[in-house]
Amino acid sequence: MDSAPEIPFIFDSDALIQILLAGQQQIFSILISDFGVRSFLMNEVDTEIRSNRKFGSLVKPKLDKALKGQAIKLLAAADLDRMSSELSNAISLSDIRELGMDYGLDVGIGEAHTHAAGVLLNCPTVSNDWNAIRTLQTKGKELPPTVLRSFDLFGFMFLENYVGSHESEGILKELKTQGEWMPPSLRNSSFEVGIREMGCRLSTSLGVSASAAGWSAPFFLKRVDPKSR
Amino acid sequence: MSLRTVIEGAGLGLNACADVLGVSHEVFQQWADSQKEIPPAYASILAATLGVKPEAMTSRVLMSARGSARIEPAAIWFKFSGDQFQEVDRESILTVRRLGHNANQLEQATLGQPNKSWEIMFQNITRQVDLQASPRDQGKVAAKAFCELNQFGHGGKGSSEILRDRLRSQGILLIESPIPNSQVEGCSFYVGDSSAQRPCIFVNTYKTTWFRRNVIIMHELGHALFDQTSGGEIDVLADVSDSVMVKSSLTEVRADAFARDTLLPQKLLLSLCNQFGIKPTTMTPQDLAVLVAESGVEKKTVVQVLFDNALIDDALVGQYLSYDIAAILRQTTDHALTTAEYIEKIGKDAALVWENKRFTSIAKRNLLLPVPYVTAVLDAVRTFSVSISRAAELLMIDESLFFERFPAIAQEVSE
Repeated sequence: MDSAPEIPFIFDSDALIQILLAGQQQIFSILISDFGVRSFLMNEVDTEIRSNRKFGSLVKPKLDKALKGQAIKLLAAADLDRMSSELSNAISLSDIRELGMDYGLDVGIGEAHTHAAGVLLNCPTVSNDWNAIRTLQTKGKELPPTVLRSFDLFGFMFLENYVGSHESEGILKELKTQGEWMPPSLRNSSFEVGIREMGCRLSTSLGVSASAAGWSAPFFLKRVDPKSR
Repeated sequence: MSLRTVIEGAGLGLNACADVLGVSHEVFQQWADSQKEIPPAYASILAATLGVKPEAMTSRVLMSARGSARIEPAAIWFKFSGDQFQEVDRESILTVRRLGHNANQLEQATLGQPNKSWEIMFQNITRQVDLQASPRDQGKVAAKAFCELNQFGHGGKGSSEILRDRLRSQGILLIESPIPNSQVEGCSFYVGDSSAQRPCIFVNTYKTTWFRRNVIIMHELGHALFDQTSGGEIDVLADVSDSVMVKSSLTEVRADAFARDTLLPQKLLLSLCNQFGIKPTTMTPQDLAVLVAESGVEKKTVVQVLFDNALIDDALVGQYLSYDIAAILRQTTDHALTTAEYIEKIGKDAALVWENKRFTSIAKRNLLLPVPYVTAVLDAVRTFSVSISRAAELLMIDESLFFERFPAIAQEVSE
């Protein structure tokens, strides 16, 4: 079996808060163990989550636990050194922050740095903020190859049978209770029906992990071990 | 030297700084004590707000190694270190300074660069001033130049109605917001990082009239114009153009003369007297109310200008100052109405358009943002020049509050 390169997913505050609120931190460990996807967040996003007045205190223990167990990591120079071996140009934290500061004129600090990392590392970001993406597009800023929503990950977990119907409905119920954003197709339907209508942007492939053209096109993940499911 | 030392040196608290950045107190404390490095995005905002260089926030080790670790607080914090100022004053100014940084950033996002028209205007004015002349003459010459450049006093009309728009269109940040329990009546200082500094005029609206604020604004503009290197000027209650009080400070005399001659130059005063058949030596309360309403300048200043121009004597000063013109003024101009009276006049629907939509919410000291600034942010959201999350940062409110305050716009630009 070929050793597949590590794929980074960079998480933005809103998506990460939803995952933590829904208690779906298992996503991070499944992504790394079965698909070689390592979950990261920028320091700026960590700050945003901890400073979130509505959910900060609620999700902080879960975030701390996930960080301590390295299910998700703060993107550090050592990670970039490792990833840069796959890229034509070495990328540093300073590079990301410089681009992040530029994007930060137009969008919030967290998403600015998340998308800046996605662009420079040419990897997917996970963010629910369509308005920010549209703003960056309007301003002619480059976007990451793929932008996933938290519900793409919830849908992926469901469609790949990592979570059952009952648990998925629980995710939906919890996020509705918290007044959280969700894709239109899920607002007035069950998880099972709504997620199929939504058009999940994350799927599996027998070939290589890859993204089609455009930030909203599906991203395909290849199993590290095809027999793992 | 830690970030904590810089902040405490400015007479500020850690929590106030955390609030103005919109970050949790716990996170900020870790930054302040160098347990964690402050991310550059936050460091640059804090540096601009405190008035120090961004490198001072992050390059601690390097600075120490070069033996230049001592970071002095910015000039404005020296000014606010006196006993007469309280925590509320310093924290309000901190929020104002964050707004100054935000205004620069908004213009960079929407126009590509901050509006620096004020710089050319200031140069044009100061070029005409003889710095060896008396402070009063300096103020008067500058006022004349200002009026010519900004079409103030044209057509025999007062300019108070247009002064706010004029100043803002030149890139001057003008904030009128209430700070109860503060001695500060007005102040001026420069905000923004060193490459994009702009004058900021702040007026405490708590228990003041529109007519008095006009004088304070122009007085503070006089300071911004002449006293650029002083690090800022603060005027406390009963300090700005107060009655016919004799002022000894050069800067205050000059700023007073500038304010009076921009708002009510002799030519305009005489023109108003002619238009309304007013004889300065035999004025009734009604006459005085007309001069106040037409010039947009408070009673005390109108009387002072009459006196300065030798149109009345000491005895008449006392007599005119004793006139109670409040009731007459309310019948003459909307600017004299109380909030309740104004709402009744324009109708509740019109009055509620901006109700509770302009106050910041992230810091303990909430600031009332200028309507043009909030409008500019909302326009930028509508055109996808800035995202909603960024708009919330610029308005210094939580993102969720943006959705509550501006649901129609949020819906318009959401998926």
